[in-house]
Amino acid sequence: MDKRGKKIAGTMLYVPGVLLMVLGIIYLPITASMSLAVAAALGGAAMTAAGLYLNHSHKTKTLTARTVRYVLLSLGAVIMMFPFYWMLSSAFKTSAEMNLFPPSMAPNNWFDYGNFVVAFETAPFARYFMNSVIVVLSSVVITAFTTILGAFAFSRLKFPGKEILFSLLLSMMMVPFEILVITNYQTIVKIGLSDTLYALVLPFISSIFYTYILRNFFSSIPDGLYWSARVDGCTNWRYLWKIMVPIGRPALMTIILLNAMASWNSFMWPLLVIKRDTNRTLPFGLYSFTTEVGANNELLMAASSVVVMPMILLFFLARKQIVNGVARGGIKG
Amino acid sequence: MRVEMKGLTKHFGPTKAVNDFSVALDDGELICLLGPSGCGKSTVLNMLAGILPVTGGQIFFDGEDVTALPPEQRGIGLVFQNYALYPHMTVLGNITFPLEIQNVPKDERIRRATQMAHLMHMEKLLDRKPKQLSGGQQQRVAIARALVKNPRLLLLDEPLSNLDARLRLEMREEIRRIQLKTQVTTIFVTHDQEEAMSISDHIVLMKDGYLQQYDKPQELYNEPDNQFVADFLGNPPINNFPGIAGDGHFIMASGAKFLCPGIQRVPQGRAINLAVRSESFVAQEQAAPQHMAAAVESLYQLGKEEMALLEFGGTSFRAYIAYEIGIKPGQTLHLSLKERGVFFFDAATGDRY
Amino acid sequence: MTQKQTAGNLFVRPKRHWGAKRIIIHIAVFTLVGTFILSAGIFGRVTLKGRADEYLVSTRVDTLHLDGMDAIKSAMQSVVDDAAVRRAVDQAATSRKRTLKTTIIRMIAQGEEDAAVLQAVADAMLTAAQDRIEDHGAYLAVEKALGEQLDGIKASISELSNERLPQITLTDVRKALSVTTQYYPFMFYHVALITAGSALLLAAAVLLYIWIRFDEENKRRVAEWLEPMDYLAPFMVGILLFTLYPVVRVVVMSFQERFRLDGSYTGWGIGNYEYVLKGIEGTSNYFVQGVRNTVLYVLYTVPASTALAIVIAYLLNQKLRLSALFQTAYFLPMVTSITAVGLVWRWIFNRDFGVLNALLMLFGMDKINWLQEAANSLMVMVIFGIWNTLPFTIILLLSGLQNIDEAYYTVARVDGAKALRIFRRITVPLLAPTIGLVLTINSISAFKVFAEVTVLFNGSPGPAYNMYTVVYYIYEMMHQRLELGRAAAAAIVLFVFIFLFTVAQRYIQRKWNYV
Repeated sequence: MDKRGKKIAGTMLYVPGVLLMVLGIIYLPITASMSLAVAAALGGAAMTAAGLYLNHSHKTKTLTARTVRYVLLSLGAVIMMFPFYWMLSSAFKTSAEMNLFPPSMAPNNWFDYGNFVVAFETAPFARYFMNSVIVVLSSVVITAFTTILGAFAFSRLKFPGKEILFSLLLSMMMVPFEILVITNYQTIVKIGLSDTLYALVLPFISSIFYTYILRNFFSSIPDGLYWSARVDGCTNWRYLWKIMVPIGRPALMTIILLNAMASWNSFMWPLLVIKRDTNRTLPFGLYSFTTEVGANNELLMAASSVVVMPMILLFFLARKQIVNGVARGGIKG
Repeated sequence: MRVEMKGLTKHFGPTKAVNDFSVALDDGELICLLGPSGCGKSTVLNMLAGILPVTGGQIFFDGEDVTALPPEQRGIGLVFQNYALYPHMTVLGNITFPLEIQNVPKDERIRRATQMAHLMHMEKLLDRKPKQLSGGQQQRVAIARALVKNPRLLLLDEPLSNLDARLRLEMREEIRRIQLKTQVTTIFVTHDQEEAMSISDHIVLMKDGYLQQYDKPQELYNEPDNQFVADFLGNPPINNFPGIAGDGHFIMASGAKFLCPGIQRVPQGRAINLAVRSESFVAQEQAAPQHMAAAVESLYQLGKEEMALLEFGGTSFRAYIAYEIGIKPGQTLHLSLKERGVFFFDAATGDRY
Repeated sequence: MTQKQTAGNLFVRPKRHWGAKRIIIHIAVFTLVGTFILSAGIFGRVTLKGRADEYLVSTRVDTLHLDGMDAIKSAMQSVVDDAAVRRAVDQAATSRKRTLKTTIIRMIAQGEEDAAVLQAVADAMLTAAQDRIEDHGAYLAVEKALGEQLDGIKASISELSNERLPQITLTDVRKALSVTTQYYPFMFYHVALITAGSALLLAAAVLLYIWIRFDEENKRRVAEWLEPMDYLAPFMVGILLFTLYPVVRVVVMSFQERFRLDGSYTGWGIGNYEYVLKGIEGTSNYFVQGVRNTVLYVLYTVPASTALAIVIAYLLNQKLRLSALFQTAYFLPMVTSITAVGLVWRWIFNRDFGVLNALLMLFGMDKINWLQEAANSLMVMVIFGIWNTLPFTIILLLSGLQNIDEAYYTVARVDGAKALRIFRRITVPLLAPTIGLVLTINSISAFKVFAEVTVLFNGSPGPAYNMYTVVYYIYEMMHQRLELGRAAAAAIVLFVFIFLFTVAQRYIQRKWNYV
């Protein structure tokens, strides 16, 4: 189609398109058949976009493409975020408000902390929180320690059987936790650590995955650095902590973040191992909370918000790190 | 195709990358955009390609104003420094891709691509994937891909930078050969003056976003417009002696002076750089007022000639000396200047007298 | 003329490590730790032995006591066919029961033989009977009968006792231990502890030998060889205990039929696998059902979320304003606990008050019973699953997109290619390896779906047990029924399945990698 033809076709599309869209939007709140109104609005929007796009001018094209992009992304974003909004808004609703149908979009009083208070009274969420914090902190510290040492050994040090051992470990990386769980459960029970916080930390003190990532990173640090340090009389230990770890900070941060997230959110293992209420971690505590409050979903939502908050905070603080780390880790995995 | 740029300007925020750049390039020539890093040569290339919008000025292809035209409508072929060969297509696939876009029928596509491969001496490589090719081969594929749609302008951005030294020599000859064969106006960007000097028809020398000189290579060498041009071209670099013009003499800060021919051009008392090419010294037997009395510091031998490192007026310089003279370090050598390869540049502005 | 000064006396070898002193430290540590572990192991064994001995003793006591008394009683009752006498004997037995036990224990502790003990029992019984049997004649008959049979009884009871005792091995006692017994870990693992402890002490001895006999050079060499071990040790301990050992153990366990938490199993064989794969006769096979559900879940979730993620990643791959906001929106579900988001979704899916049904009503459609109706369970899971896997998938695809050199697009654009052609011929092929990766990773995790089911359906896998998944099966076997052997077999089957699936995927995807 030549330029003029396109322009005409484009105009023929977008003018009625705009009309249709406007009609649809106007009728949206008043008509009984919502679907028709929505269909009209969407169809109109599509026609408008197509028509504008066909329009010859480069500027209009780019503008339309941009707008469509933003609109689509925003729509998707709303859908993705909605459950979080819903969680938060429900947490502040009263029991009566929860029983409305259709449900209200926002609670009457955004500052009504009642549900949180009740939730904290019904179940020892503070305790759960403490437990989770303790577990995550210990797990992260210990795992980081073993990972750093192990990655250093595999990347820098020479010892017989290094390659074979590493290949063996790599092949074991694929083994799913679901297999290990069976024996680990038995071992934990038999050592007598069942139902303790130790049980939540111990099985995870070494991670092949994290060591693999860190080792690759360490390997990329040039040999020259090591040898010039050695020539100056630097010991391995010092070299590791004063040079390699600072240089390896990005990868280390990634590992720590991933580890913290996985540990905080872990569910199946605590479910198996923890029996007493006082030893529960947050996600598990939340889950058992459901059986106790039954149908009082506003309490559940309040509790869920508490569980989710720290991770959301972490995300805001370390968003770039987390995203990059997941990408890097995912590609390695 | 004739390319003309009028007052071309490009600003990136506060940074002025290209300033009031005007030059007219002839059809069918191999032209080099030469200059040090950051001089704006790649920016000019990108504006010619249409990938970068211009801040000011105009570009004309054969008299047509293409300044606002998107790249796909300018009829150009583009080769990047890293070749950008589609890794998932074969060599044949890569070369035929532009024709595919133009909806050229399959038979003709393959015919033209094979023809192009033949021109590049690459017929046997058509089924390979880029990762199986050497650097030189990849480059040829990139050029073939750019040329297969018969562009009116071929643009190459530092095509030889990714190759090792020996290959560079070989490939620049290749580029020249291809350009002569196809007669497509070709502009390529480089920072290597030897490269530019050896194969271009014309050189556009740039510095800090400004055009320094546009001329045939030999002209740039023999008749530099300013200090920068003289310094940039030539290996070894031109020798600069800072001093003043006075009473027909060239006088340096240390007091060393000699009767320099041609210094009358320079206004009395003006601070200048006397720039002399290393091959423009002639060793003389005796001292004379118009000879430079220079102390020999050290010698290198290059086949039939010797290059001497000498000192005059506190400045070290290099000169080619015929072997037969037989000089030794510590000696004083009397040198006269040839007519060619001697220039006077204003110490402040760099202009030539 | 001094041309070169010998550098010998100027060069000072820097004190790098402790050098050979490292060996000494290792000797010390190994000895200390080795002794500690060894003593723990020995302690465990000794305690176990003690318990075994106790057990032996009590078995013997029981045999002598219960079986002995029974035998003696029947002997006494055998001769006279009189109910009254019999009753008298019974009463005698009952009255003496407890005291006799004490007596027996005392006598055994004193080292008496079985015969002597039984004699005492017999005497006591006779005395007791004598008091109760009125008819002295009957009593004498009883006495006589007992006298005749006593030797026989002694022999047979002794034989019985001797038969039982050797059957009690240390292993049996170990197995029979309850987890809550004091010092249980030491007793249960005493073999491992003793081995480990001895190994460490042996290593210490070897090092000591090296220290004494080797020269400086070789000592240093050994020390250098020891160093990597130190760095590797913490890591390897964790791996050995919680990764390597379990893998081997689980494989072995899967062949130990009906292996239970207390360690008992009925024998070696593929019985576990048979149970898992075939189920019980007559009842539906949960495992196969679980596989079916899981496979359906994977087939519905993974391709859909991948396609969606490609579109979103493509849209996000631009310099956008508010990119931080968009990133947060799309990536947040990845960091949050699955229980928390599961609960929200459960509320959203709620039939009477959920916002999803509200939306449907707005469009004039009927409410759907998402959570309680079996037919809808899969859809619920898939929706939740897609929402959950989108963030991770988008991140990976976005990274893949950003790794595509801008130059490819520019060259194609200069050649005149339009957006669609660029997308089709350049973007997608260059993204293919990432897409393949994403499909593989997501499939593997989708096969392991568990938490989602538990949270959405409040503990039960679906309203009618219909969203049974493979991992749920494993969990139930392990936690509820304590049938570790079967759980192990199921886990192995799952792993093999995933492994084959991955291999198949890799094979199909081999053409996708142009690199």
